[in-house]
Amino acid sequence: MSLKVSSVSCYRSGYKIIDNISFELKTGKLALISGSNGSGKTSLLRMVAGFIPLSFGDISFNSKKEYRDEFFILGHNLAIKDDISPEEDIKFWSSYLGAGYINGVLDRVGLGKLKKTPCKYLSQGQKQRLVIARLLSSNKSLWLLDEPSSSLDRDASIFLKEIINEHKNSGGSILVSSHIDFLDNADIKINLDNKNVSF
Amino acid sequence: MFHFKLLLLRELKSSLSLKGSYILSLAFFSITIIVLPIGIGPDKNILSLISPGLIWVSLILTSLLSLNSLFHEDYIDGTLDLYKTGPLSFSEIAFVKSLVHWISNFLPLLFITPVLSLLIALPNNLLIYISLSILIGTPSLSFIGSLGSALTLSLRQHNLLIPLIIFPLFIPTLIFGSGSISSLIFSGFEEVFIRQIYLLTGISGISLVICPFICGYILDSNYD
Repeated sequence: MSLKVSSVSCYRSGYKIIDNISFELKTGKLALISGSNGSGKTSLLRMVAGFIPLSFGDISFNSKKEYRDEFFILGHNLAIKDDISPEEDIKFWSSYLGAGYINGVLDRVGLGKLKKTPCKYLSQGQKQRLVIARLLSSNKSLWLLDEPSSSLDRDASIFLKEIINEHKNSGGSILVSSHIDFLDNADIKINLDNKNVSF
Repeated sequence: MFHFKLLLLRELKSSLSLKGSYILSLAFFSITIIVLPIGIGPDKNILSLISPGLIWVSLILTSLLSLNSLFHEDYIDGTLDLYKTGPLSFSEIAFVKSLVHWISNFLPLLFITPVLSLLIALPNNLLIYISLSILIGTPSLSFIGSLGSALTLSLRQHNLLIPLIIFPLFIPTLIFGSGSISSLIFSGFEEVFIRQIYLLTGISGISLVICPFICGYILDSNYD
């Protein structure tokens, strides 16, 4: 089981966003995409997700070009509706995308006491915790995480690192972008500033 | 089918919440019908002359008002990203969203149209026919309208562009919708009314079948 990114380039409105990036992410491995603002971290993740068309190159997961139901993406926009509660949110997304609602998942991310509160009253960090609960319920082997720790406090960041390691150890693959090198145990480091891929 | 029902229930709940656009649609439609007699005057002959067109133009304007949020809000907040990775295709999602748009924005109008019709001097015995033409004709407004919403998905000026793109496509519905009511008021021909209703059924049926596929294709190719 592996994600293969081969000689991928992306041009948008005439500008080169990603230039000739290649790497292979095997099962149980973690790849960290780093780079300064505007270096193309989000674009690369969205290309892997199939949201942005490739200008050149090829991306496949388990030798398949179409793999949209095999990954979970956590992006900048958290897809949280103001009027519904975290419990309703997690029940919907875990049923729609994952293997069903897991009891206690909101307690695990620290939202147990707020599970009936409308999401509009949650802070940005609490909303990000809710998305981590979706991630835990998703039952997908490939995780695509775009700046997952941007609004998290110290405890939540540590928790995120723990679940990333858990997923890795259970045979999942993770592609994570961050402008801060918050994961020191990455197996592959992709630096988009100098187009360097190190193992 | 499980995911289809799940999405339908979520979208219905969201649309019929207090924040839903149906309240705005109800208010807009009512105000348009109420204000016109004030502007034109109380002459019943003039009011009944223009009332079929007035009802259908108001329905179209009401649909344009609520179509802005059909996909754009989900695109901005990242919901469409998650839908794209889910089990339903964009065509199926477009079908659900258009259906919910019709249920939440046009079905409530069916209940207030008989009351509002009194203000524009429509004969009482025609209320059932007017409701029938609205019930049959308005699905086409939601399903054809979804195309405009999909085409302007990532554009900032989408509010202005949707009416420009979609209004010409609404003209057949407008002609046969208002024509069906006019045929009863002015000529009293039920036969002509039934023919117009058949045409409205055809337009709604075709748009219900074809538009979600076109919409899905537009969303897939317009997505980034």
